[in-house]
Amino acid sequence: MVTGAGSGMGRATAMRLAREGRPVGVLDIDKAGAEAAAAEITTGGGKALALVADVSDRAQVEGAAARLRDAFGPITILINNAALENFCPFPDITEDNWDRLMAVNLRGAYILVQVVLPDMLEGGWGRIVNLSAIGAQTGAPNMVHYAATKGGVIAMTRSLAVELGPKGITVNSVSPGFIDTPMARRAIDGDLFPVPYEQILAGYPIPRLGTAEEIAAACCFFASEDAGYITGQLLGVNGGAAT
Amino acid sequence: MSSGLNRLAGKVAIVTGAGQGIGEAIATGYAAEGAKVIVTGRTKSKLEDVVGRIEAAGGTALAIEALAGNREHAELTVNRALSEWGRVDALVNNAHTFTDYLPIEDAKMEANCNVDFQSAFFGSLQLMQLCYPHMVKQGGGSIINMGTGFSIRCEPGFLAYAASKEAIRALTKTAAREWGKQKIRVNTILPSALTPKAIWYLQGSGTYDAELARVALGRFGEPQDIAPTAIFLASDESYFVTGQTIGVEGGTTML
Repeated sequence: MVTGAGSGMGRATAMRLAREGRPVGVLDIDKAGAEAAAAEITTGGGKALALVADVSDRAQVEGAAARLRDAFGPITILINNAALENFCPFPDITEDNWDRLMAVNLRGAYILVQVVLPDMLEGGWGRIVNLSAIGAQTGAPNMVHYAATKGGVIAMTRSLAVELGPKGITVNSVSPGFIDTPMARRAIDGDLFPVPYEQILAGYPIPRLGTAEEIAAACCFFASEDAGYITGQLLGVNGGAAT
Repeated sequence: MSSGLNRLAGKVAIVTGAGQGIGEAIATGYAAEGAKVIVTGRTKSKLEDVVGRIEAAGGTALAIEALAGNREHAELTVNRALSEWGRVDALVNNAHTFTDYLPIEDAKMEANCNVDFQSAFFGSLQLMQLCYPHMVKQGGGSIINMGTGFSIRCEPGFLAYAASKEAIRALTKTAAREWGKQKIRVNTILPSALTPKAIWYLQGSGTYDAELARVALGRFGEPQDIAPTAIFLASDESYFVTGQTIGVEGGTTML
């Protein structure tokens, strides 16, 4: 199950998991995006099911999980990628805005884990990868609410790792830096960063935008059998911007 | 253990401390993924056994007797990689001569620190310095250094070990920043794979159960648990990953 799989990093991760031979639930709130990604996987010979749900809505997530189980069996890998971002100076953040980001980014991840967990417990094997963000590590101006949700994701990852480790379930986080995704392009095009983005990149050890495929590679590594002794870890895929 | 997907095809790797344990597992994993591997260590017979096993499995490796922290040995090692195979793409600084439990106030502490620092910290630094110009010339490389969760936790009695390992993390992160633009990536693995000596120590000190209780996955690691992460970090899959510390220790340390 990959959430936010209709575009960007989630899409790249779903594609990659499918290439590795795994049937994939392509979940997104954007129906067209989910269906296009699933169709591309299916056309390429993989197995995919488009699922439309708002991750902050438990009933919708339960419905999507049930469809995925019916199609492909127990859900043993979860990539919690769906997230909203928003740029806003701190004094102007409204409670509605705060609550919406918390609902999607943090409560959504929590709901997803709870909904698919019985499958993992039953099989005694599971892989959960939660996407956090560099802003939670370094701080991010005009993104206090967003960074706070991602900080919550990191704390949730560690606590889940400790609680679920004895059950054979690993829980790790990939923390993307500045990645070339539709979400980042909207921010660049909207001139939403406090300094020109080229200036941000110039300060990075690897001075370029990361790619969605590079995030997908890290997610799939954590999801693989190879990473069976890794849990509770935060892997920055950020070109060295935060170490 | 290995996927055999040739993820390191065409690459040349140096793995130090590869006569046994984690180093051996990484060298074997690299060879299975298509890399040509130089295995270094102190005991020639062990190195030759490792090379023999790699070759028997269809891989390519050669053994060099080298003491970590000895600059002449480091030069011989890198020169050999270049003379044999013309390049060096991955460097795994795994060798570490570590000292035993010792309280800080003990008069031998400074000498102990020197042992750990010379082998592990200076050993890593020397090979990194020697590989650097070649990695620049070839357009990049991946360096993997070994830290330890002990240096995050700072358990009593292990200052020399912990301090040298934490110095290695500083080396990793500084090099990641200095060399990133040359496409040289540098990362640290915090491995946990108990050697027979470590098990003996834990049992002798009555801390075996307490240590195991810290491991979220409920078991101590094996060298084979560590190798896949070293493969990932050496491969082009991790092309945007640098300066990171990743624990492969069952969820004991969470950074």
